[in-house]
Amino acid sequence: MTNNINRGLYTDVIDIRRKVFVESARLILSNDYHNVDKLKIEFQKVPGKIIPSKDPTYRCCVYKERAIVGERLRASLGLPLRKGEIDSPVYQGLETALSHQKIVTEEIVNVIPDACEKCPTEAYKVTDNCRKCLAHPCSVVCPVNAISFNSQYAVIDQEKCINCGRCKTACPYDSITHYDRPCAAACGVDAIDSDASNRAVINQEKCVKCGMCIVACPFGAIVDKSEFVQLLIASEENKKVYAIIAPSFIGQFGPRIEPGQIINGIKKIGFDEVMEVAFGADVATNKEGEEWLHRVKEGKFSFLGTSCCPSWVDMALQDFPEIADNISGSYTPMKASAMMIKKNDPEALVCFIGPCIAKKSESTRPEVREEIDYVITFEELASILVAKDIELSDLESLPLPELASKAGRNYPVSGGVAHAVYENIRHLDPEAEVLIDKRDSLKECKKMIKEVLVGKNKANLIEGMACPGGCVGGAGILTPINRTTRAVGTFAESSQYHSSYQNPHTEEVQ
Amino acid sequence: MIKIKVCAGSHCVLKGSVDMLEYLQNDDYLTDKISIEDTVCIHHHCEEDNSPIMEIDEVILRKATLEKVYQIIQEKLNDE
Repeated sequence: MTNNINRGLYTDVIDIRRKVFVESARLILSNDYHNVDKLKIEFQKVPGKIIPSKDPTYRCCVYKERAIVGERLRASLGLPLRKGEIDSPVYQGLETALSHQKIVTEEIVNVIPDACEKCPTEAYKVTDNCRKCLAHPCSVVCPVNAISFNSQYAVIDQEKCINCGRCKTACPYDSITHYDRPCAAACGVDAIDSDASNRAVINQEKCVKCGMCIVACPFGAIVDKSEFVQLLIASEENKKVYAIIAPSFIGQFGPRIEPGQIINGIKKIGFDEVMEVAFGADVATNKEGEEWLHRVKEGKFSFLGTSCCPSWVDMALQDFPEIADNISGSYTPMKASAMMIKKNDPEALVCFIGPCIAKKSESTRPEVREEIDYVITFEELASILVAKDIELSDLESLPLPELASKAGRNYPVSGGVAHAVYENIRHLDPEAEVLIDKRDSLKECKKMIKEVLVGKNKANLIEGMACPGGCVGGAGILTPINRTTRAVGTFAESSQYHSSYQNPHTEEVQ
Repeated sequence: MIKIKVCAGSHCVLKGSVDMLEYLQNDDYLTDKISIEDTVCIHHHCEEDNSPIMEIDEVILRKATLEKVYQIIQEKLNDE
């Protein structure tokens, strides 16, 4: 797993990101969104409000700091970044964001060029811990003869070095350090390239939108686009909007906030109904259980891969096209939940609220955009609540419709999906030999596929999750991963149904 | 024992209060030096954008940061 220092530690990067969300929501909530001219003026004031100091704190000058906040603000409204085009005003194209129509496109994750500090790319370097020892295991293990010695230290020839890291492991003095761009280190699909001036750029063809580079960058140079502004406008226009809330919502808003208070808060910001995506997870489990029996038990496939994490599925299809038919073709839980709502209420708009950036991208795809109108994160939801001055702990707890099983509610924790599918398979065929493997983070997922393909791994049901720990480690979370993992488990125990196949409500979506 | 309370209302959570709570709880150096618990809305001090709020030995700390908390804890330990 990649360096986790930016997860679970509240830094200035997170502080600025959330301030932008809150101000962006306030912009729409406290102004008439029809009055574009007024909004443009208010829009221009926000960067100064977020960076009020006269002297710079983080960058060369406050003007640059504010320009970067301006770009973040644009992304929070769903607008494209200006990427250094200085001849256009920061509010350019604002009017396109001011309706309930979805404006974000598939390219959700972008680098703000001005915010990228051009970190050097991956390298191994020798530090002055080096004793130029007689044994010099570093050069013994080097497969490309890249290590030589000057009068004092070992020297790595960067032209020859292939970054295998064997020298670092072998050194008895811990004298060799590994350096990498945090964004590139966090990326599981090698989608971080460099532009001519060595700034990071995202290769949109390769990017699977997991968002791990966003949370990894210590300069906050990578942003995802949001669509809560369009959502808030839909609610102002009195459209009927349903919230479907991902199962990792438990515990996100604080350990003392009850699920029913979260439901109440969601309704207070303008949603008509709230439903758990764990219901859709049960639908997906039922499909995947049957699929496993058809493809693996009866058919000639050696394994089935789960389908609920879009980043994992995209990575698998992109890097291992030969296993395309091994990945389940089931609907994702998000889509299944929305289908149930739209079947009963075709006019309704549906917003997915979750920890996930990839869902923002998934919702722009032709096969999903009919069902999902908006996707927002927990972080964005909490920012809207603050902008509306709603404190969840003050609210009464509303009942949550019991539509999901324990298995469905355990989906967001690594291993939860495969376990749910396993229970279903064993219910349909108690003799079935199901061998599970599961990994979290895309680099680990890749390893798992390689192992399965060469026969080193005999698993026939494999689960992949792009984020550390599963969805509970998504880019849009509010609470440390360990805490949510525990809270999700406890909440799942309270469910009325144990396994997905026992949930009678799933029959409503086929 | 230094007594620490961390506000875990949703305003303070957005400002990282639970991140701090988790961090301090898992700081092995402090295991036998602090007692820490979460609570809801310490007298609503967060209202004027003062979140996150903490209480250290019954003294309210507004706009708490891990940096400030560590300094206060260290000063208290030095005084002992």
